Amino acid sequence: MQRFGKDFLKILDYLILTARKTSQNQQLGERMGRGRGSSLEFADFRRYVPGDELRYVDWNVYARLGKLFVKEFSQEQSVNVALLVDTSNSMSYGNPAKMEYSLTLGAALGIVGLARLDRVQCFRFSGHCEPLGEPLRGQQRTAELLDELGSLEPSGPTNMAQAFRELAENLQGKWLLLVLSDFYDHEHYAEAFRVLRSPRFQTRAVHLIDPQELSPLRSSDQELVDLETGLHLPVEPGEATLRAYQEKFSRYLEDLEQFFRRSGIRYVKVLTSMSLPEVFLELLGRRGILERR
Amino acid sequence: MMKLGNPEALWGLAVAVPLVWLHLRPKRRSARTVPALFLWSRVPEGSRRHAFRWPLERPLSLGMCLLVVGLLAVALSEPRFETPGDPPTDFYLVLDGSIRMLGRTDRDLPGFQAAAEKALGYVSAMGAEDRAAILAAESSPRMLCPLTGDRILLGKTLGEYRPSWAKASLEQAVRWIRSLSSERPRRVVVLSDQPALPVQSEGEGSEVEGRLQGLSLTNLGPREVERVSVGTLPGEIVLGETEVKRELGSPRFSYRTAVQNRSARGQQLRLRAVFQSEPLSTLEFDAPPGAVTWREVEIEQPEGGTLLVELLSDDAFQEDDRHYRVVPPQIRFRVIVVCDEPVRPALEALLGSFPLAIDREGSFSMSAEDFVQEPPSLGPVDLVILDGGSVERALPEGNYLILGTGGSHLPVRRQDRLRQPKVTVKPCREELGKIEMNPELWREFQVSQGWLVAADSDDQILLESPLGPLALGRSDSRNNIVYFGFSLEESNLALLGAFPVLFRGILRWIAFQRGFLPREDFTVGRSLLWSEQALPAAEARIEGLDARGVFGVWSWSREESRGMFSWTRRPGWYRAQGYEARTTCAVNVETPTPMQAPSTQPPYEPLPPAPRRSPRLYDLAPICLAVALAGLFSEWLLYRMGLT
Repeated sequence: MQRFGKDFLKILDYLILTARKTSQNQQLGERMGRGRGSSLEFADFRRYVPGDELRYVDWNVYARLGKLFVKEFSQEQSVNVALLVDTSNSMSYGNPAKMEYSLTLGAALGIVGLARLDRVQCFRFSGHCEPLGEPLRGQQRTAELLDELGSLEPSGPTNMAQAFRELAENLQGKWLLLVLSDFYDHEHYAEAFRVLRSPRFQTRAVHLIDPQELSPLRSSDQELVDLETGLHLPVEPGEATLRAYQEKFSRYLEDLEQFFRRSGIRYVKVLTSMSLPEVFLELLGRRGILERR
Repeated sequence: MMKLGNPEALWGLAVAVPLVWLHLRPKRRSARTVPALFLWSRVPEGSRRHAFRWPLERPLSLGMCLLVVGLLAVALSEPRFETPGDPPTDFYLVLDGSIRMLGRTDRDLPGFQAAAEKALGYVSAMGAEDRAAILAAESSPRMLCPLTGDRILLGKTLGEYRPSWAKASLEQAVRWIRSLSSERPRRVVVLSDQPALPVQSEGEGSEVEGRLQGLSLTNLGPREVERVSVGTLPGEIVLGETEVKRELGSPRFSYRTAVQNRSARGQQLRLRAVFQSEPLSTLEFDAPPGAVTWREVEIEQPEGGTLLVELLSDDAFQEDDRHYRVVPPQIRFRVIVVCDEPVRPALEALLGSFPLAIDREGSFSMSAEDFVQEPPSLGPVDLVILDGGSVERALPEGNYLILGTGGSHLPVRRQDRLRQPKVTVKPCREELGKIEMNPELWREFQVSQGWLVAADSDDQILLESPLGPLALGRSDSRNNIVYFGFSLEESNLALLGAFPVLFRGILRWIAFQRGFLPREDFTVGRSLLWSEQALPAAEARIEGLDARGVFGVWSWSREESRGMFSWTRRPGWYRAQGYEARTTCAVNVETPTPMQAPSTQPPYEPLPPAPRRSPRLYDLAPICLAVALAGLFSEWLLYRMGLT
């Protein structure tokens, strides 16, 4: 996991994870809720009804108008953020490994959530989904967040449907789901995200792609070994094979993008060769996963 | 029948073993990890045709590599096919060494260069196991290069040779080659410009074949005299110094010589210049007894070749002008030992052990007192071995070996008592003083004349050499006394071993000085080989100086340094005895034309058929290598272009 610089941490201070207000819970946070609460920010006046606390009555208005009005203040809420990190073996591919990049990215997103007093909980998934610890809240828990993410190692094949099913069963309440994965589960990803199509969940999909996956270097290798399954595939080394692979890969990316668009899931592709500030400021901001505070 | 010139190269076939092993080794496909396989398309095994792989995995490529390796190994082994009737041959290339070959040919090329080109053609056409020797037919055959297969050495020898002799002994050279025994068939090639060779070509397969034709003496160019060899004269006629002068570009030159008649009667002499048996000019003159006369012959000779200048005495004036020969007289040495007891018996025993041609019956010993009172009559070659300490009177005319003159017994001290002879080197020093030379040349002159190398004067030799035994020879022509000094007592073992050589040299030198031996026979330098174990340095010194007639061995110290005291000839007059009188003046025809590169075309006639040689696969080696490299490069190029 990379170390964050001061400048980058300053950037994180100005960001907030985008979430629908309906998904916010009642726990105190730094997000303005729809309802009225007890924050210091004035929201509106309403007519006094019996039972209201007299300390909220605006006496100046009463003196001017002769009617009792009560001041209402905004409600400050927080969001439950679930960081879902793909730990399948395919994430160990690339230089730097996609796993390492995803942990760094997840840590940065987690820091943003903790800074905004969101409840951040980390999950790992490959064949199954497991929480890494208790939900964390507040900047003082940043170290625990980093420890949890730092302990992750890639292992096992991907089964997103199974993993997300288990996740949906275990999560209570409303959650903002940040999925960091390479989505090499072409048979189950649709089913998996169908499970998450619930009003309780807002899902963000971050697709991590190594540049070598986009345009692999040509070599004389005659066999390919699957990182997850260990299966061998004889191939014909050459330009034609590479061209066919690139066509298939781009088609696969288009299918993913189309699926997420149809599913209403915000989807972003991140090349592991990009720097984190670039990712945060350009891609995440445009895709609506992050926003300025 | 195939033979290999370099069979070690067949070890290169061992390279095929790792190649085959690489081909047969278990194939392991190179694998590459990818995050997922579903994006890659599986290719059936049978359809994989255009993959770039290690070339040896293909049987065809392996076969090509094995073929190239095999061809290279076989080619480097230099195979050749020989028939039983084509055994290795020895070539004898006989070059005409006469200066006629300096003349230019019709191709404006000197004859010797044309001959060298022709000989190079033979050398280049030789087979791998053939050998060639180069002989120069000069006044006598001379081996320039012995039998060898080294073409570079042969070519170098041919390029360096320049003819400079009066005549070429082609017939003698061929006869000499025929006398050699050899298991191989021989081919003698005579390269000469003589219009009528003394040896006739005997056709293909015979011993003598090949002839250089078409040469003629034209366009001679500037000439100058290069060599003057002086022969001997009969009787008492002494031929002195000779000068030959000629201006460059001029056909006229002069031959000037000094002649002295030492006989008791006057003689009529004839000086005649001959070119190719045709007399050019003749000068007749009278030579009174004892007088030295200088005579000069003007000769006009426009063509190159050999001029013979003959000096004939009236004894030789026969009608047919044939020269007569004098048989050397039988030399009878007598040795008279003059010494007292107890040295005499030991000395007699020592002399008796010498395997020399001493007339033992005429030799005798006597005491010093008897010798002083009644000296015996001495012949011209009789030698008196004299103990220097036992004689105190003037010596009569004769030859003396004075013992005990080395080491602490200095001859000068002895001569005080002897009074006669007085050892002096003045005449020689006066003659040497006439010659103006720089110090280096002066030193060389001393060496060539046989003087002690490290001595400034002969007085020092005699007076200031107390450290070792001294042997010294000297001729006093005025008193006609020849005497030597030697100390047996002071001599070390090496010098004692060399004493027989010294003694033999003394006798022969006496014979020479007294006119009983021609100079050519007076060589005793090789005789010191008898004691080469004792005096290797002295032997080497003799060879280096080309010294002849070593009379004594001198050493400055007994253990460390040894020197050689040799005395071959004196400057001045030659004394001749016997043999025909002939003086040869060779007119050298120099050419400023540098040696030209041998042409590939034969200059005058086609080369004789070269020994059959099979085409060597060695020439194909670069082609095979280039083909293999081109194949690999094309495969790599196709792969880079994505066509495979």
